Amino acid sequence: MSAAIEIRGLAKSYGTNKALAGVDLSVPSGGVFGVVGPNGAGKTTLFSVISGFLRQDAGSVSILGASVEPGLPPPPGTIGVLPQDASFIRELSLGWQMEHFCRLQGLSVAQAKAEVERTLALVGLPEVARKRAKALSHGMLKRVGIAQALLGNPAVVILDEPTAGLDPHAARGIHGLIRSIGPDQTVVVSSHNLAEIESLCEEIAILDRGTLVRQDHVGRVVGSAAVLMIRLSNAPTPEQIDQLCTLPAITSAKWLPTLGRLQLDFDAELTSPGYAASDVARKLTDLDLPFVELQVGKSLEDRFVEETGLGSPS
Amino acid sequence: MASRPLQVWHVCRFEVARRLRSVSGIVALVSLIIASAVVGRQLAELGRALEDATTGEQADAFRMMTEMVASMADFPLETVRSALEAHSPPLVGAFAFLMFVMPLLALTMGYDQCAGDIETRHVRYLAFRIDRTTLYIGKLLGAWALISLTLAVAAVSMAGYIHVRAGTIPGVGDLVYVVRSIVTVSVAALPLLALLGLLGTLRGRARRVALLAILLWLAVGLASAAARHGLEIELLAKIIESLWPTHGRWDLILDEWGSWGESAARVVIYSVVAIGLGLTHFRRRDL
Repeated sequence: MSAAIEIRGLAKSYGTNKALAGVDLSVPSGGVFGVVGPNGAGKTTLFSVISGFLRQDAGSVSILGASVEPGLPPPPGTIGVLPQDASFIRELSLGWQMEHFCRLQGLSVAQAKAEVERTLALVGLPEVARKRAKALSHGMLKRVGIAQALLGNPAVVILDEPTAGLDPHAARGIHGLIRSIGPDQTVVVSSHNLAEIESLCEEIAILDRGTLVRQDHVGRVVGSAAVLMIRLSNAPTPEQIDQLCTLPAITSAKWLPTLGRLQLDFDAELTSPGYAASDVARKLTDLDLPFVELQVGKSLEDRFVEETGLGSPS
Repeated sequence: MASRPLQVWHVCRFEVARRLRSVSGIVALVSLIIASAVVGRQLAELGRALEDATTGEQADAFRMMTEMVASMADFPLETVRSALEAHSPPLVGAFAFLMFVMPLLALTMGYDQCAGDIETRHVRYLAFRIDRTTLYIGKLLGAWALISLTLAVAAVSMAGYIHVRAGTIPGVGDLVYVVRSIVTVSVAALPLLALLGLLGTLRGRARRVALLAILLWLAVGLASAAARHGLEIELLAKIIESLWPTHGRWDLILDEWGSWGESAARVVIYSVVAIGLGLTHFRRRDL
């Protein structure tokens, strides 16, 4: 599959602070791609260079095969962007501002009105077109921001922290929206919420201190550790843990009371993660230990901490 | 995709409509119309005094009008007198008033071209859609169109009041003179708008742009006065004065085409340099 975004040796500094230090990244076409990293990792700088807001010091960016010159906008109609902290003009109606964006993209007046209606309906806010930006809540403005990124049906949609500052209900709405964006479009999303990235994305890139630590399928990132994490209704007894250790591929077992989870390490050369999980599920039933969740591999959060060497993600 | 001239037009039109739709824009426009009507009334009174007075009193009224224009323009009385004799004196007074208030109007209406959008990052909604040259020029032209519109409203308000008060119908010569005054003052405002655009891209904070421009205005005034009256070096005073973009604008209200050419050249050179510097920086800066 050809790359939607191809980045080679991208570098950007703010004075002596290196925000990006030679990043190579290839975002595949179609699906949702996640970019994660701690504060100051360079996520927003990366998105800003791709979008033409910042000029890189070195390196190249191409979108759908077309090269993007430093400081120039990407090829017309190729991308839509939700910048992290951009704001609408407070005094003006949102529909009018969005129609202006459409006109800049070359749509006629009638097409612009229809496109604004379509995208606002898509984010579940068809009624806000006549409202001024200052009359809307932070969450609603975020959704309108996503709507403006979808104007003109761009092939690549970049969403920088689309759920930052939103309550769980609003964030869930945006998750549904991102999943519903057409399969012929590529969505690149950054977030501090690793559970969100894990549930939304097929492939992720982990950035840390301006460098790409890892780019891989999310399943391979979380599943690369030969471990099963099991959430139990009740804490197991030491005898029950010993019984689990008698299973052929299980090498160790320990109860993590702070997480409320049982961690079982298995020998990946003896058995596949799927068979190990099936064996453990049967044994748990035999031991009368009801479980509410069984996860193959570690969570993205755990893997993130391991990959970046941080105490906790932010 | 829209062509670049069409995009410039969209940005320019949006900027004008954006200001006119805002509460502050409406208040400013209504205030200007009222102020223009008040000035128009004063000018009409002077015009009537000129027509009604006996020879001696007429000379007094004419002298008052001459002194008013001369004091605003800092011109010798003789220079102003020729303009007042060639055109309707109240309309010359209106022209001088427009030229007098133009820097203040340009400052209040043109200080926030790109700076405010950079400050709030609204510019990011635009910068991935159109190139920066289009954006910068569109916003500059928008500010210029807005001030031209404002000047036109003020000029028409004053001229209208002058003629209604006098109970006369304006002739073709009067209409041409009003149009000339609007066009001339608009053109004279361009270098100041270009400077404000340059400061906007340098600082990226709208209020700082206004503050910097006012400080520059004061600094140029003080430094040129010190050079002229303290050091008594006229050439240095003139060089310092030329740093302020509306310097020399008063020459444009006269009919002396010799001084007119010099001022027009200054307007063009200042505008080209300021726009060039602003555009270069805007294309390179982080948004």
